[in-house]
Amino acid sequence: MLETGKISALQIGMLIYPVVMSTAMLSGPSLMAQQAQNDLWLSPLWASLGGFFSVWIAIQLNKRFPGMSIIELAREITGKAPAAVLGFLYLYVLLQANAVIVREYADFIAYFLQETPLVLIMGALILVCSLAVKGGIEVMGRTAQVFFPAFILPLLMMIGLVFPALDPGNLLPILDKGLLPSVKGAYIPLGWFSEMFLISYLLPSLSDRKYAATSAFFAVVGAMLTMVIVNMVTLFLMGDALDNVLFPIMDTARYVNVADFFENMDSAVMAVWVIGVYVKVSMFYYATVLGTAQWLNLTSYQPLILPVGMLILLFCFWGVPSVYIVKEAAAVAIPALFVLFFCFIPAGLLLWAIVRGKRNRTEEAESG
Amino acid sequence: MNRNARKWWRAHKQRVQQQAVPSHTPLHKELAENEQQLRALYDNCSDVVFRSFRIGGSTRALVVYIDGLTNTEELERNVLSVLMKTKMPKDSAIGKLLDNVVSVSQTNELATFEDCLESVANGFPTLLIDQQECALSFGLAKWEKRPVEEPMAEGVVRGPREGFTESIQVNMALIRRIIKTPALKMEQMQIGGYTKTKVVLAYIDGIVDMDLVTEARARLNRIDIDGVLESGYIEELIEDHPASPFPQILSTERPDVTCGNLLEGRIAIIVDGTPFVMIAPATLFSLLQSSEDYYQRSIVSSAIRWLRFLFTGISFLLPSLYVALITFHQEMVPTSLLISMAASREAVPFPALVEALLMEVTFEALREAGVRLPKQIGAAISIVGALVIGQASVQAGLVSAPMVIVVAITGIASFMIPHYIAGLAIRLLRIPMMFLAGSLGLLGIMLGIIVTVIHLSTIRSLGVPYLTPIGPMKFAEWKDTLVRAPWWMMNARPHLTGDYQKIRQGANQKPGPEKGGDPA
Repeated sequence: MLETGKISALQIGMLIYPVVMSTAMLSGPSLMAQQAQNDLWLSPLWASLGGFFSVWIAIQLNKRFPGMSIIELAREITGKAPAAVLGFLYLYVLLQANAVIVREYADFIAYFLQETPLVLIMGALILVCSLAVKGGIEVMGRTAQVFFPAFILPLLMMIGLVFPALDPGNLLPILDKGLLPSVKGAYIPLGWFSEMFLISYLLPSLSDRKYAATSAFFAVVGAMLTMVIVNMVTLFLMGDALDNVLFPIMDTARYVNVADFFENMDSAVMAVWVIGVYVKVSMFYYATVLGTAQWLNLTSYQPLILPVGMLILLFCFWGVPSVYIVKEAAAVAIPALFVLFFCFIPAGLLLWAIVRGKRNRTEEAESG
Repeated sequence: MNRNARKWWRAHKQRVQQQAVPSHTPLHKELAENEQQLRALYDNCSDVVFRSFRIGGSTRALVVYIDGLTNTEELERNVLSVLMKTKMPKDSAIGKLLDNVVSVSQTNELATFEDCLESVANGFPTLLIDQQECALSFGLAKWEKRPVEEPMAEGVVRGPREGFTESIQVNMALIRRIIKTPALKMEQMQIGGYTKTKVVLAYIDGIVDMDLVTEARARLNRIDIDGVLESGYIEELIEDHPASPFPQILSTERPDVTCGNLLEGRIAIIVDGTPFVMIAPATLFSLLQSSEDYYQRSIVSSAIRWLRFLFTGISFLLPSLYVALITFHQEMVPTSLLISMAASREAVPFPALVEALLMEVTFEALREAGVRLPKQIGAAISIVGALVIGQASVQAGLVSAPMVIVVAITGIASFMIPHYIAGLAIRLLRIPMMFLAGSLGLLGIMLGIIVTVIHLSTIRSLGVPYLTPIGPMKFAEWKDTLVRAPWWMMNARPHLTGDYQKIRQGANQKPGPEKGGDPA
């Protein structure tokens, strides 16, 4: 096996939660509000179904083929040639997705550091993430645990501080136009929730496998609840204006004012948010590097880390010409792509495996 | 090392050993031959004393010892004078001499030259007798040593005031006096081709994970070095990540800290010639704990621990936060504070980053000078330092007053870390953090923190992840990390590696009036 490290179910949960939440926290509320208006708090509920589905698929596949990631088990199910094509597509999607994430991060940071060149902002993050990937799954798991409170607590604190200004009346009228708007609003978060399929790359390294489902379940529920809460708070605070605000959580932070001392905390939110992006990018980075090594039958993934990092940096410019294209892609293409690659194709593979009755006979011997 | 170098090294080592010690050469029967050989070995060693005499006026004998390492009074009274008056037993068994004549508690029979040299070097006077193929060494070593004093680097208000000394016998005794069980094992070995320094590996059998001991023993045994002057030599040769600024082995001057760690299943490595005993495995949080945490009331200790965490963070981040806020994120500073800060910075010709670097480096220089300089002029440096850093630089308009405050707080914060070496690591990382803050603002600080955490997550100390119990999370150990739970709650030992004895004490020991005096 390429990855010799072991992680716990708790670590998997804490790795996978920021993967969804780091993007969703920032631009989620306004994107959902554009479709669902004041019913946006319902959208994460619908979208989380996609999360449950992809996580369930990943766990079922892992049960049939323990110790194998999607790249390897596709080879078992479909045979060499189709698996090679599928693997290449997967790696390409991961690479492109990572580039979009990094580009989104850089465009956001550029609001704060207007004169710093984008390539420096992106390069710094990719370099930092490459260190984590170099450390392997254990290091990523531990850093995720260390950072988890640092990611959650400031969010809760901020909500507590704006609490007096919240107006629950903005919630009304509930379901004025039926369920449809909230379901439409679930389209974009559906893409984010599908990203949870990345646990497929983590499950083979899990030490306590019986808790895999519990941990993944809590990660999905946690992400869903956080999204609902963030949506509600921003809605209560901004009302109808929400869908015109680019990053509602930043404006919420700017609203905080404690004793005329803590004010304009949006830079602090940016700093906290970088933690989430770090976890997310290193997860995608790790999946790309590990997947490539498996796809090429290499004996170690370490030599791939820097080249793949360079590729991500290049894709940030090649694949994403401008900030407007990012927005368009993020609203339409990327959710569809993610749902296809992280829900439907794995589901198809699982179905194929069930129909053909295929499973990894050697079981634990292989995974050890 | 290439092959030639390795070959040369091996040959060199053999040469050295041939010169120094005729290894495992048995002693001759003739005293004259032995004496000749020993005198040749100790050629030009003016501190070695050869004293020839006759046992009972007939059998020739020779005592060899090193002047200054041996208790000559005892030697005269209990060995020389007694032997001169007695008669050599007819059956010429050396054991008889020991049993009946010499009144010295610790004696040893030696058969080879190597043993003789070792015993002489350790300060044991060695007796060679004509027509005997073995020598006798007497445990009469005595040399000038520092008495047991209060540790310099780790002070406490409440708690024992004994500190280790430079003598390994005294240090071992200090530990044994606290932990009296025979389960406390002290394995002795010698490290250093020339210094032959005694190194002792201590652990409590039954508590420690034996794999840990095996690993530590293996790492100690593979050391091949010419001399060990301080435990730092050994630390650098057995640690897991030599390139890290963070100490992966805890060193302490305090017997109570050593014993506390032994009782939690760690191992201690005692090195002769230094008051610093090494403890492994160490974690980042063990470096942020003081022994006094366990002697004070638990609520107070918990509060002090939080204060320490806070100031550890301050010593790591405050200058870079200041630089980032002044350079990039002025809007985060409250308006009134910003105005007064801007007013004091008006005359300053440097950007905040340069100003901060200037002051931090000056402060570090002052600190280093303060440690190194002769005690008599200590006052001078602190006056000059306070004036230069504090007032003059502000009045001259070179540095702003807020910057001085930041540096002062950072300085105080870094001295709050109970283990000096850990404080040094954090102080060192402060400099790159300031560069990051000066170039990327808060983003730079965050990236710096992330890299630091990644690095800390990579480190292991003898198999134990450095960030235990935060990453990997072990909730059961939080009560002795984030807070200091009262003793009646700490029923389980922390888990390090492998198998261990989990139960530390009896359950349900919470005191209270309802417990009463009746044990039933």
